[in-house]
Amino acid sequence: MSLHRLVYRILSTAMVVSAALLAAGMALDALEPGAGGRLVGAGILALVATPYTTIVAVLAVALKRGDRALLALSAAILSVLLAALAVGLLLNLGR
Amino acid sequence: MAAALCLQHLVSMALSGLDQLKFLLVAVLAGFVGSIMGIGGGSIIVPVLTNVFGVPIREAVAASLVGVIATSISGLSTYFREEITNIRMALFLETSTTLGAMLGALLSLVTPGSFLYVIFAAFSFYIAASQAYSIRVEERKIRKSGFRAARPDRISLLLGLSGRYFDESEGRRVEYVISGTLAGWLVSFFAGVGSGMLGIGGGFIKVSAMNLFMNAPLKVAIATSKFMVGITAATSSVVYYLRGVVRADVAAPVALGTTLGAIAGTKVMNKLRVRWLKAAFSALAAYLGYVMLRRGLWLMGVAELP
Repeated sequence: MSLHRLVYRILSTAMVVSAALLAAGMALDALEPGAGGRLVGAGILALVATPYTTIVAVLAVALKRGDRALLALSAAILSVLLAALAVGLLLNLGR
Repeated sequence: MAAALCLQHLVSMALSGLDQLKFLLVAVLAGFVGSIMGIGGGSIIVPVLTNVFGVPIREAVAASLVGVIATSISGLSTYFREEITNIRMALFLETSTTLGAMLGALLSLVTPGSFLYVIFAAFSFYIAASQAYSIRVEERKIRKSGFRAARPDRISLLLGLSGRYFDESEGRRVEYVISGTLAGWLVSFFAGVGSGMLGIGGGFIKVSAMNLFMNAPLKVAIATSKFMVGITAATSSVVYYLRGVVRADVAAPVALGTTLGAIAGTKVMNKLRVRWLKAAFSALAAYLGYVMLRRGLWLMGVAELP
């Protein structure tokens, strides 16, 4: 599968899943306040997690193909994303 | 467990359905403009949420970042099918943007940034003028294969950054050679500093870095920047999310709205004549330059904020 096709599949699946969760959550909440909170939470989590999933997938493709340039680029981006995640977790622990 | 994780970091929903509908409509516009221009749309969402609806700035930025990711990942079928998005170039420039964003965040702790606002304003006016000036050049380069004529530099060759795409409005396949990678990397770094320090998304600067400095056609620059802004937004939004600043009642309509807007925007972008796209981009850069100049002068105590 080409890199474009793989990334497209990941992003479009994430878009459909997150939009469906957000829409369902908002609809439920409109019917009964508070009822859609979990679905909305899952939709937002899906959005925030998508760039991580994408870069991990690109990294896996680079490894499989032995594409050093792509590997270096995706590893660099992933390390920044993981550093941000670590900062977020540390700040959360400090609360 | 997953459900608990979803809820643990979210502030609960409290806004009325009418307010959420208004947020959604604003976000549709932001997603539409964002996907046509290759920007996240935060420069539209944040001022409206704070100034019109009175949402606190941190919560507005947090919701906007979630919306930026939604803009970035939505309506990609055209951009990816026609390979307008250059994934390698996006990753290459993302290394500088994220580094710049980290430096910007650190700088924001020691300086109010008034001087930087003025520098960014000046650079935005330069971008506005350059985009307007290069309208005919871009059209000529598309029609006479001018984007293929550049000489790739070593980084471009090493990373395989050059590519091609199908331009719907011109009805032709456009090949391009990426050059000026170092200049583009540095301009993207500058965009990242602005993003981290001033909260400016930097999307319009990245588009210009690719289009004006690296010989990428404007449509490639826009599609690539659209892909990039989601990754950049993820680095900040994960911190906001875990910190519990993301308000579900604000972020949900914003993300849903930007998704709808971006789907519509991406269907339109490649059909637009590049001259109109460049003119609109020039106007956007001039407007953002004006906003930043006002803000910088206000911080210096020279002007009042409208």
